[in-house]
Amino acid sequence: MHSRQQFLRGAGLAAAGGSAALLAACGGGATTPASPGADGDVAVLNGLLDIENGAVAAYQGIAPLLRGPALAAANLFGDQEQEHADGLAQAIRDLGGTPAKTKAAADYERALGIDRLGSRREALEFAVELENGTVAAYIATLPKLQSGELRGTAAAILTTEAEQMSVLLETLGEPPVPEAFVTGREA
Amino acid sequence: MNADRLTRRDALALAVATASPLLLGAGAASAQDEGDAVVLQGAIVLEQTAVVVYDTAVSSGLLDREAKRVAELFRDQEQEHADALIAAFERLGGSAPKPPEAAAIPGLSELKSQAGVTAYAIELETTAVAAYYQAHQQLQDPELLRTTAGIMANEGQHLVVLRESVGRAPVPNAFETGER
Repeated sequence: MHSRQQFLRGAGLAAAGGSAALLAACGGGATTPASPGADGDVAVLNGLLDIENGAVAAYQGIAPLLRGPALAAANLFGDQEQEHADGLAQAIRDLGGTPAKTKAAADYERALGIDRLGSRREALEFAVELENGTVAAYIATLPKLQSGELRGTAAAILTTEAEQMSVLLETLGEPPVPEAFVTGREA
Repeated sequence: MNADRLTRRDALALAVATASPLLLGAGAASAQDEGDAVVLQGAIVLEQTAVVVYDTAVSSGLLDREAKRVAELFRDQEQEHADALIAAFERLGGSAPKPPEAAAIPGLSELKSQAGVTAYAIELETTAVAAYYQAHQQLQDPELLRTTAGIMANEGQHLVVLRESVGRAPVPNAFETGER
């Protein structure tokens, strides 16, 4: 687990693509002046950041229950959640805010109930629910963002979350695109 | 191949951009509503185009049973998107644009194989994701934003299935913006 965390930290530092996307979305680098809606946007982004940090820990936590393609998917998705977290943290800093501190992985795993999962199927079903909760959170909060660019970025992230959900559903043998409107479900 | 793709993408974008003047009635409301209506109209044309593309694919005889089933599902979901967007557009005082004729959709009549149809569908869905990525930066109404977010996410899920069917990585981007 420790080496995985180190790996993810390294991947986060190297995740220039995601960070760059959000940097661009903020309209510039650290010199961007805070807009009138910046405080509200920082609060929204910090809420999403906590969810993404939890998702990183969740994919780490379920990895021991998975093998083969399902494990590869979980590893990829964990890395992508880390890219989201890094990008959100950068956007918060660009708005003049302070990113919420990342909790210990064990705290997230306990809060999410990962220690109670005992099988591949339970792990995958949990991941589907995780993605459902994440999508629901993005859809609920996206309209609150004042910055149009950040709304676009939030939509791009939630679309990736929906794509991850499709892969997880397929892995469970369920229809990958069950609904025309992906609204997610509150956990 | 790249030139074909670009041409097709540009043509689709053009079709959306030139989708006729805004069809708002005389009682059109605020500048915000009008701005949202412009975005909505473009999205409606895109969804109507997608319905025609999938419907044409379904009846083309080019698809095997599974691909046809997928195309039928996606066609129906695009229709659901179009219906929801048209309802929102009409609430803003707009009149729904007419769906395009298949013959007017660039490149559609040239498809000769299942692989060609799938590549075309991937291009279409990627264009849709890119359009919604832009739309979220412009739309103001919270309810509309929730609706378009749910639609954009669904288009991404379509991409997962289409990419997998041709052996491509299903989730290649942490930020699905529709960029190639």
